[in-house]
Amino acid sequence: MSTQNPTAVRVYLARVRSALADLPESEVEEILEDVRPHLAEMEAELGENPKVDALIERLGSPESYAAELRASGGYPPRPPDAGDKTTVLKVKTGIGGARFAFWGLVFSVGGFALFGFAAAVWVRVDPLLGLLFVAPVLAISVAYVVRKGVAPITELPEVVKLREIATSFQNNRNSKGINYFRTLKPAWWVLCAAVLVIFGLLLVLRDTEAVLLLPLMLLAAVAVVWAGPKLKTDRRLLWLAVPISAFVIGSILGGAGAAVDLIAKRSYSNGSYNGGYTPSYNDNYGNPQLMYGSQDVENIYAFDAEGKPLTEIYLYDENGRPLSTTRYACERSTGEKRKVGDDNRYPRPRLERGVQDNDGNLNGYNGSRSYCQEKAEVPFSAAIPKGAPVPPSTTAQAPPSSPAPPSNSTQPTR
Amino acid sequence: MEISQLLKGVLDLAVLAVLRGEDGYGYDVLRRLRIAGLQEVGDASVYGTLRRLYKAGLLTSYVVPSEEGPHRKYYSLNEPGRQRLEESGQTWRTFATTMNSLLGEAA
Repeated sequence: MSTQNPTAVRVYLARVRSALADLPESEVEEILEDVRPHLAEMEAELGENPKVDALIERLGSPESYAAELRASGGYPPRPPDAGDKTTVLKVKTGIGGARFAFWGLVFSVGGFALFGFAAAVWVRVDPLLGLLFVAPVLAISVAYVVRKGVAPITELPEVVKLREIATSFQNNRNSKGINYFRTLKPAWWVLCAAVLVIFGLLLVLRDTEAVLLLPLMLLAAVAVVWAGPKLKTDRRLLWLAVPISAFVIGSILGGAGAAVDLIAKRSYSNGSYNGGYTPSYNDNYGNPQLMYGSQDVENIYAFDAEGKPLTEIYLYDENGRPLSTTRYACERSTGEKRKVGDDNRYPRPRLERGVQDNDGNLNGYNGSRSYCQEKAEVPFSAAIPKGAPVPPSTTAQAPPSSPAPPSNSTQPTR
Repeated sequence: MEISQLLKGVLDLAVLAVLRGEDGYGYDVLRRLRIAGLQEVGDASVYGTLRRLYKAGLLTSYVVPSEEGPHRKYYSLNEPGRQRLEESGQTWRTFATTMNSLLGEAA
């Protein structure tokens, strides 16, 4: 058995102590000195890491144990409003607050990690607004911890259970690995601060409004560097350091996600990553559209070296893939344009649409019916500069595979 | 009749008695009482009684560090304690005799 009191004894004694909180502290200490060896031996009898419940089964609840001590020791009975003179707590009344403080921390950790992740993965400020929902919970938890300390929380049954799991985990495994991570702790706080600052700056780059956020990030960075090394002596700082760590972990993961996304997009479309907004390169019928830079290309006109328009050309890409797009035609009855197929023959007839009146006048004041007209002619002429390099015709290569013009080309589908 | 009720009156005497021969720390005292046959004695009652007797000046205490656990606070009977044991013992014997004879008549 080790010289330090194992958990169950400590918890039991703390509850006895809190039930005796109104007695002089030195006297309580004397009483506990009598009780402690007994509990230690009892714990040794009960085997490795006994539960508090096991002690309670043998001795009764700490509170009734304390009551028996009072009765037999000639101490006054507990005053109904026993104020906590020392740092000890009133377990019965304090458990709700302690529970809120603990689960508030857990909740905040989740929230911070989640919103940090979201903000990083989209590189946007908006998700951080979600922290406004988390902040009040954390604030209440912090207020409790600052006022009452962490002792009530360490005695919560769920916390005791968690610690039991943690210690048995540590005992089962080679503690070398854990020790190694312990040595990394100081570096972690610095890393946290660095991530916060870099992330804050990145957000400002994306969105100048984030300037308002930057001081907060800097404050958090300073706080985590300050609080990290003190955690050992003041467990209350966990309520500061852990949410910030969670936020940092979340944003690191989010940043990694964004980076992977970015790389994937780069290699996929070879360029312009524009932050979450992926323009659609397809038209309403799901056919690809031609693009020139970032603009849609609706039609293509070709001229030969003499400036003579070529009225029937078929376009292919470097792999011999036909550059087919949706072909539209006028619908006489309604004057609307509609799809008649898709092919790679250009130029397309121009569709002129407008209104006409009963006399057939186009686009007049009395226009009542919409109309649509297909115009095949080339709407402009091109002056090909004489100096333009003309490739010698002998080197003109056939496409790698020479696909036949699509058969469904100009036939209306119905 | 419940022994725990009877114990309330005589626990002081019992604790003083088990410390007469040899000093002991709290758990020692409890064990000696149990071995002597007072199974019903409550753990906390013994520790409370020890404190009360100590505060009444009937016991002295000293601390002995333990190699394998928390240190142990030993209690020993001092002169007033021995006197009290003597007196209370006398009272008990008289009382017990009275009770015995009472019960003997009744039986």
